[in-house]
Amino acid sequence: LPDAEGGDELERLLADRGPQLLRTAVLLTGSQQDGEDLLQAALERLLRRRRKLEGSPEAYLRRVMYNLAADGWRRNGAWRRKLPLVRAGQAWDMPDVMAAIDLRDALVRTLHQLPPGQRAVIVLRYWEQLTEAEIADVLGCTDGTVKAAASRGLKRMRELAGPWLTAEANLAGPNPHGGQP
Amino acid sequence: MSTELEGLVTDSMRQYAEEVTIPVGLTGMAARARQRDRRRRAIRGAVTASTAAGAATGIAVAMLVSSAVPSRGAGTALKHSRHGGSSVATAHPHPIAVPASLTAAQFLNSAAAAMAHLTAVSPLSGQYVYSENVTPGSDWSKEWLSANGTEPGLMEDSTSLPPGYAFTEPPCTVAQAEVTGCYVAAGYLPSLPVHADAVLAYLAKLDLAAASPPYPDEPANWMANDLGKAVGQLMSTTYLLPAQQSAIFRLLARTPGFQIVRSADAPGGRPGVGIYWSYQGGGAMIILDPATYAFLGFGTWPAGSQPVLTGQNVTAPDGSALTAMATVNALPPHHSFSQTPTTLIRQVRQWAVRTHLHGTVIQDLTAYLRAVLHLSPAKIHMMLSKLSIAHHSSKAVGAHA
Repeated sequence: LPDAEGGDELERLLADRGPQLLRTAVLLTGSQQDGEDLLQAALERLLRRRRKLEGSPEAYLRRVMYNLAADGWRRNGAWRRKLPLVRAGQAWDMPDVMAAIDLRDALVRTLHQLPPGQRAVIVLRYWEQLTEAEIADVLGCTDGTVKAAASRGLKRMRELAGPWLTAEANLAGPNPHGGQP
Repeated sequence: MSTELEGLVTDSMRQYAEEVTIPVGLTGMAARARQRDRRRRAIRGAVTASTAAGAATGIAVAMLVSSAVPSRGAGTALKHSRHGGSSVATAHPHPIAVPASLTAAQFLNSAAAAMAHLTAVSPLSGQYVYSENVTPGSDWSKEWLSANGTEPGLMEDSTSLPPGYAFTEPPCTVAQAEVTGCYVAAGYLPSLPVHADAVLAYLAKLDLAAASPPYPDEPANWMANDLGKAVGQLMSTTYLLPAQQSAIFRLLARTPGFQIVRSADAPGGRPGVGIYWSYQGGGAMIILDPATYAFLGFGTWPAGSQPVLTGQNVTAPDGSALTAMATVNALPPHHSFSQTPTTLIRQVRQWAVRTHLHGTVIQDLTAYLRAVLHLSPAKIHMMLSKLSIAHHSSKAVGAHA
């Protein structure tokens, strides 16, 4: 990124990779609005570092987004940025009753009830499909931390999504036709 | 079972990500980032210059307070501070000298002892706790939290919203937080224990601090960091009774990892005593008034720039200072803003199609585009034209459809 101030490199990057970056940001934050804000914050970091930046800007953006999210980035206030991501708007963004009975929807909602560090690890592992070592590299922590966070995160998701998982198991279980619409 | 769950998690995330709306103007984020970067650099320069002026900072605080406190919000109600004095703190011309031998624990224990003797009025359940904080760059935020967390709160800040606009804070009581994990949005926590032993468990229950290391290889000082952040957050926006503050100070006093900074300026320049901790290359401090032990604010240093504590006066590059706290009976009039411009424009388009467009909607949108995105009037006019609502736009701002 030789001169982000003058050139169109950021625009090109966003045109090319923006949608995917935004999807990741929305997964990390749990809402469209917070996802856009997170991506915006990462872009600003990128500009701040443009002179020192080595390697791919996209990789840097991705790394910043994950670290901001894991570090408890929030929309407002110097202090709040350091606090756990706290599911802004969760209570009001609840999907309608029909959507809530869907297991997939339930799982994504449980994702956003995890502490930020665990959530970042889960998104890196299952959305980005990175290995534990790669995740440790992105987040700047040890493999052991990643392993622990992934296992706790999944365990917690299983607990939180328990009723939906049971319902799914029942549908797919003894009655072979149970899962059919 | 675990593999099955992993498969489901992967599928769920893919499906969810597919449904993410990709805004048409996504590349516009680059221009916005550049604009903010330029503004940030300009502000940073100004801050450095004003810090060098030194003695003038006290006056700057007073001006900030008078211009930032909204007459509509804080003025409408009985107003009391945590400590029975004025709710707007003022600069102390002669800071009290703190003995060189005093440790953080000793200072905190003195604070705890002093607080234990004070009494205060509790907010009522229908009231709101109003708080106002400023940053070193003179940005401010104001928050109205429903006293018991049952009603939506409001947050205004100078960096993301134009004056009169606010983000809505979803309601969340302590009881709801325990069950659903929502973020407590109560301005007053009667259930916060007044015994140090129980405070940590309470904070852990609300996910504000951890009672044991979250991970086996947690860096040193994790607990000071966890607790320090939780306390800074609570004191910035929550009305704490003196007895509760006393318990919190006692808990901090017995937590390893805190150092005293005998002369620390809160953002804005009020002199205080810092309770400092470092964490992973960065640092932070809670700043208390040396005479009353009132919370003045906090300062933070980003990773890689923690200060060398030499006994000299210390000012953090970032942080915020509490400039007002009061209980109020109602929320101020406001335009609620919980959407990004993209969703707002989409919404406006839907409204425009469906119904007679209300003048205030255009006003909201125009103000947002101008103040937050720094768009020129011509550009705003063009955008509104694209939405086929040009005839309502710049000329009609403030008019009623």
